[in-house]
Amino acid sequence: MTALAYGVAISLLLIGLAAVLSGANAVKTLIGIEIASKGVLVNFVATDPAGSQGIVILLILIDAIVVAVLLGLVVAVYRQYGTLDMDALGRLTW
Amino acid sequence: MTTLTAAALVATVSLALSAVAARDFLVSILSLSGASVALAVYFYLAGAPIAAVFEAVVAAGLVTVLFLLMISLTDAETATLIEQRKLPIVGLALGALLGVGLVVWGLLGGLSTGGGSEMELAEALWSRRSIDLLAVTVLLFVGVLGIIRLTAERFDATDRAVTSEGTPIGRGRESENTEGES
Repeated sequence: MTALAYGVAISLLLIGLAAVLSGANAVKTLIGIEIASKGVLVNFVATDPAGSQGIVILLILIDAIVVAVLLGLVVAVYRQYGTLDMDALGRLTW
Repeated sequence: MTTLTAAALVATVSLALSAVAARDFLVSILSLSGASVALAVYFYLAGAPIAAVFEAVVAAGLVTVLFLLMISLTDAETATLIEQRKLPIVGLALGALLGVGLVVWGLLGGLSTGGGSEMELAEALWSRRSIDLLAVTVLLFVGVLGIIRLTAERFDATDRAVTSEGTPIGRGRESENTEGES
């Protein structure tokens, strides 16, 4: 069962990475970040469920803060430019 | 117990895939919330009950509400399709997922054991990680202040950045086209 948990952790990381790299939309990018962080949490819990509870809780809280700040940033960008399309927002996308 | 754990993990991956693949933002966000709930079930079954509660309350509750609030603030409903030139990334990711699935299929066998207690968590949080807790509290306040600052009604950069004719700067190509024609 531990192997399955590690596999799920890597899968979630891959799904999140693919969403970040291929996402043409800012919301999809944020969802990808969220999914990748869930992969990290699964990895912690699969390794040591009892001992990693503290760090998992801290990570969940930090993740919520990061998402909140980034969502605020997305709203500000939408008000400034009128779009959430990453290609239209800047030249840093590929 | 083991079957339930496996079902929770598989549901987490399925809902995460659905969250990334769905075009409708509402479906994406609700799938992400479902993945968080399935992950909370896995945490509980694996022996981390308090982490499960935090995952269910913060990730499945608070973050989902934040995403829904953002959708209502931006009037965005659907994502654009992935461009053709970025499709290899999706293919590579799906191939890697298949590889991970095959490896896990080969490695399946051992059972994870262990269970947490509330006293261990309290000791870990309040005695060994007190500075971390303080840092998280400060971060929470900074995050809340940042959200208030960024989404406040009075904060609208286009109100200040206007051209001499009074049209806002940075509103896209429409304003540029009208200026060019005049």
